[in-house]
Amino acid sequence: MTGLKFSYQTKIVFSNDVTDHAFLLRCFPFDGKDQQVEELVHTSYPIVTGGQYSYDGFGNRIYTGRIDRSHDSLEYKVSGTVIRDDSLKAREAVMPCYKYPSELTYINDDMERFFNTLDLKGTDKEKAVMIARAVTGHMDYVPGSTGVTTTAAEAFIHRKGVCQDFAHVMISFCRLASIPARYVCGLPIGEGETHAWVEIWSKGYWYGIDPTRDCEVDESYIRLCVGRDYSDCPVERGIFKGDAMQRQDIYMKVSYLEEALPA
Amino acid sequence: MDYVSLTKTNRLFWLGRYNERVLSITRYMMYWYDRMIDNSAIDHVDYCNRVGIPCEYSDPGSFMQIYLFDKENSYSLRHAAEEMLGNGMVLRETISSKTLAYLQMAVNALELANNDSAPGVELQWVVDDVMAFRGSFDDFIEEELIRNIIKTGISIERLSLYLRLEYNLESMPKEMKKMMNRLRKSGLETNAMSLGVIDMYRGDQSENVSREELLRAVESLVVV
Amino acid sequence: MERLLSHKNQINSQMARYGVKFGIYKNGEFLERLFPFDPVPRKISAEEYKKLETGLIQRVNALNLFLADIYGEKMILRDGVIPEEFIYRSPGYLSACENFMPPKRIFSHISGIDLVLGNNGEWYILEDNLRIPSGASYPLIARSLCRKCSPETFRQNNVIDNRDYGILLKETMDNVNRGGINVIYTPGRFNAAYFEHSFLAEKSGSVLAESNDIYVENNIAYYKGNKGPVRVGAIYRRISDEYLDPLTFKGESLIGIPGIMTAFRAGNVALINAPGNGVADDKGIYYFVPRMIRYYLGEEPVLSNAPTYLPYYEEDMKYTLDRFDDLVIKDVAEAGGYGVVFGKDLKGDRKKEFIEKIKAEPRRFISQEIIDFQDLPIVDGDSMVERKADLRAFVLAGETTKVWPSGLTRFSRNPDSFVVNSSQGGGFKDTWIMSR
Repeated sequence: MTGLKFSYQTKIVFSNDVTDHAFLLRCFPFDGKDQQVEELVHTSYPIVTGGQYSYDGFGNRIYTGRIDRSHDSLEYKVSGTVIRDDSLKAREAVMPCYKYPSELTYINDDMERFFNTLDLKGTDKEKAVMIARAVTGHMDYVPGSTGVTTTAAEAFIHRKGVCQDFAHVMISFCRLASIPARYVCGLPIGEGETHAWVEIWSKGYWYGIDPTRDCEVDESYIRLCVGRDYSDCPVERGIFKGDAMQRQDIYMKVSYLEEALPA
Repeated sequence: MDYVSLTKTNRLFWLGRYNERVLSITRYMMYWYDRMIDNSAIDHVDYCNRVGIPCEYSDPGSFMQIYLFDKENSYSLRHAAEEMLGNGMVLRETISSKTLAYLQMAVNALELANNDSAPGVELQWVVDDVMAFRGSFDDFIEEELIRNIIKTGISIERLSLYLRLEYNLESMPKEMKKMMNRLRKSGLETNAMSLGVIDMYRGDQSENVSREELLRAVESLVVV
Repeated sequence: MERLLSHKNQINSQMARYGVKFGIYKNGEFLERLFPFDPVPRKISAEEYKKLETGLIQRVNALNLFLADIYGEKMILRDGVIPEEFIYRSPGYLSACENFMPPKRIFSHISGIDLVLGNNGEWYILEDNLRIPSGASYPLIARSLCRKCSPETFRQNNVIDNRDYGILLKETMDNVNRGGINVIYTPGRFNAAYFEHSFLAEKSGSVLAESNDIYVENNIAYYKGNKGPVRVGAIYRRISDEYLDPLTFKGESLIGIPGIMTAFRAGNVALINAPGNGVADDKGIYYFVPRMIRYYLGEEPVLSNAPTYLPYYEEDMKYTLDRFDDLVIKDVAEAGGYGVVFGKDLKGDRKKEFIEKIKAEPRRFISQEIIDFQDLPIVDGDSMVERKADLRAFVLAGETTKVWPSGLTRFSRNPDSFVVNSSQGGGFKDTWIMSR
C-alpha cells in the first residue's frame, strides 16, 4: 500500500481573446480498489458555467463545461491524495476493442519484420515485458520530435519519440502478439509533465508496463485515463470562437504521502 | 409557436432585403426595357456608381442582359434572386413550402426571361411571384415578430434603393414611417447613431440631413 | 397510369415550382440539380407488401437488438455468431458509445433498407442504411404533386396514402424525446440533402437548426431562441458521426455541437439516429444480418440477402476466386455506389492486382452474385424504355416498428448501369403500395 499526494495543473494561454469556449477534461485519477481517491480538489479559472462530471465510453471520469464570455486563458488544477495498492487489483473483463489496431497504432511492414525477429516466450506479461525492452532498445527518447497525431509506425521508422510514442509502438506489438493492450495517461512519482504508459490484459487483470523507462508500473504511478491510444483520451479538448493560437503550460507533482507529512 | 435563433433572424432580415431588391430592380428595368423601344437607353455607368457595383459593361444593351440574367455575376439581379431563394430555403419550416414555392417560381421566371429576347412578360411574372410571396408569408406566419423582421428587411432595402437611385423620393416620408413601424414590432436590434440620424430626418431638421448621411443611417440601422 | 403519363409536363412544372432538388459535388463545386422524376410509379401489391413489411420490421428489430448488444453485453460475440474482427476493425464502431444505452434501447430510429426485385419475383436486401438514410421527402412531395395533376388516377387506383410521413417522423422523435423541442440538425445549405432537411422539418413540425443554433450547458442541449434558450429533447441530426461533436470526435469539426455526446450519454437528449450505428450497416456485417435475426429473434429471415460471400472465410475466398468473373466485389469501407467492381470488367494486370488486394485484406471485401433484377419501365421522350431500379424502404422504430407504406424507387438513367444512386445521376419514381 502506498499513499500518494498529487497535484496537476494546466494553463492554456490564448494569443487573442476567445469566446464560446466549450471544453472537456480527463484529468481525474481513477477511483477503484487498487487506486483509491481519498481526497480530490478541482478548480478552474475563469469561472466555468454548466460544468458537469460524467464518464466516457472507456469509463474515464470527465468534466465538461463552457466559458462563453471573452477570456484569454483557461487554467485548471486538480490535487488530492490517492492510496495505491496493487494487491487489491480487481478482476476485470476486457473491452474487445483493445485487441485490435486503432487510429494511431496500425502497424506497417517494417514493424511486422521487426516483430518477427522478436523471440517472444512465456506468459503474456513476460512477452509484454520483452516487447517493452525491444521498444526501448529500438527508440530514442527525443522531446519535441513527434506530435500528438504521430502514429506508432511513424515513430517506429524515425526511431524516436516521447512517452506517447513509446506507448503506441508497444501497444501495436502487443496487439499483434494477441495481447490486449491499452494506453494509459497518468502521473508518475516526481514532477514535470504528464506521462503515458501501457497496460496489458491477461487472464482477467490489467498490468502496467512503462516502455519509456523499461520497467513495470508500480504503486508510484497514478492512472488518470485510458483508451485504445492517445486520441481516445486527451487530457483536455476544447473548441472556441476567436482567431487565437494557444500555448499550454503543464505542471504536475506526485510525492509519497509520508514524505509530504511534516517529520 | 416558432423558435427564432440569431441565425434565423439574420436570414429573415436578408430574405426581406433580397426580396425587395428583386422587386425594385425588376420594376426599374421593365421601365428601361420600355424606354429602349424609343431608343432611349439607361445610363448604366451612372447606375452602377449609384448602387455601388463595378461597371464592366461595354454598352447599355450588354449591361441589361448581364446585370439582369447572369447567374455567375455576383452583382446581378439573378444573383440577388438566388440569394433570396437561398435564404428562403433555410427558412422553409418557418415560412412553409407553399410560400417558398413563390420564390422558386420567381427564379424560374428569371431563367425563362434569360432565354427570351423580349423578356417583359417573364419579368412581369417575377413581380407577380414576389407579390404572391408577400401575401403568402403574411398569411401563413402566425408570429407578428417574424413577419415584421422580413418586412423591415423589405423596407430598408426599398429606402436604400430610393436613396441610391434618387427616385420616388416623394414617397420617402411614407416609406420611412412604414419602416419604423415595422422595425418597432420586429424586435431587431438597432444602431443608436443611425436611429438618431433618422429621427433628425423625420423631425424638423430634415434639411440638415444629407442624402449620403441618410443612406448610411438606413444601411446601418439594423444590427444583424 | 396513362393519365399520369399524359400529365407528365404538368407534374414536371410542379416539381420545378417546389424546387425538388438534391445537391452534388462535381470537381469540388456544389451544384444543385432537379432530381429527375419519372411519372410511372412502381406498384407493389397488398400481398407482396405484407411480406415486405414483415421482413423489414423483423430485420430492423434484429439490427436494433444487435446494436444494443454490441455497445452493451456483446453476447453475440461471446457466442461466436459473428467474428469480433468484423466489429472492431470496422470504422463504424465507436468506442465513445460503449457503456451507454440510448433511450428505449433504440439505435436506428429511421432505417433506409435498399432492396431489389429479382426476375424470379423474389425481393433481395441489398444494403441497410442505419446512419442518415435520405430520400423519403422525394416520393412524399411527388405524391402530393401527382395527386394534384391527375386526381382521377388516384380515384381509380387503390393506393395507400403516404403523406403521413411527417407525422410518423414526429411520433418517432416524440417517442424518445427527453423533454424539450424536436430539432432537425443540418450541416447547412450546401449539403446534398438540404431540400430534404428543410422539408422534413416543416412536415414533422421540428425546428431546423444548424451549427451555432444549439449549445450544451449542464449536459443539456439548448436552442438559442430570440426569447431565450429553449431546451432540446430530441435531435434528428443529419450530419455524420465524425462531425457530430468536436469534443469527442473530429476536433476540427465546425459543424458539430460541442458536448452533445456527453449530454446524450447523460440521458438528457435523444440523438436520431444514435451514433455508432455504422458498425451495423457496413457491407461486411451485412453478411451476418440473417444470423442476427436467428440469434436475437429465433426466427427465420423473411427477406433474403443477395447471395454473398466473405473472402474472410477460406471456402468463400476460393469460391470468389474461382467465379471471379461472375461476381460483383465490394469494398466494405465504401458507400454511395463507390468501391463496387464487377469481376468481368477487370482484365489482365488490373485483375491480378485486385485479387492480390483481396488476398492481402480479405476482411475488407465481400463478393456477391449479380442478381438478375427486374427492369422497370421509364418514360424516355415519347417512348418507354427499361431500366434497372431499386427500392429504398423506410422503417421507423418508435413505440413499435413501422414501415412507411411507400419508398424511394431509384432508377439508373444509363441503360448499361446497375448503379442507381442519386449521386451517380439516377432518377426516382413514386412507390405505390396498393391497399388491395
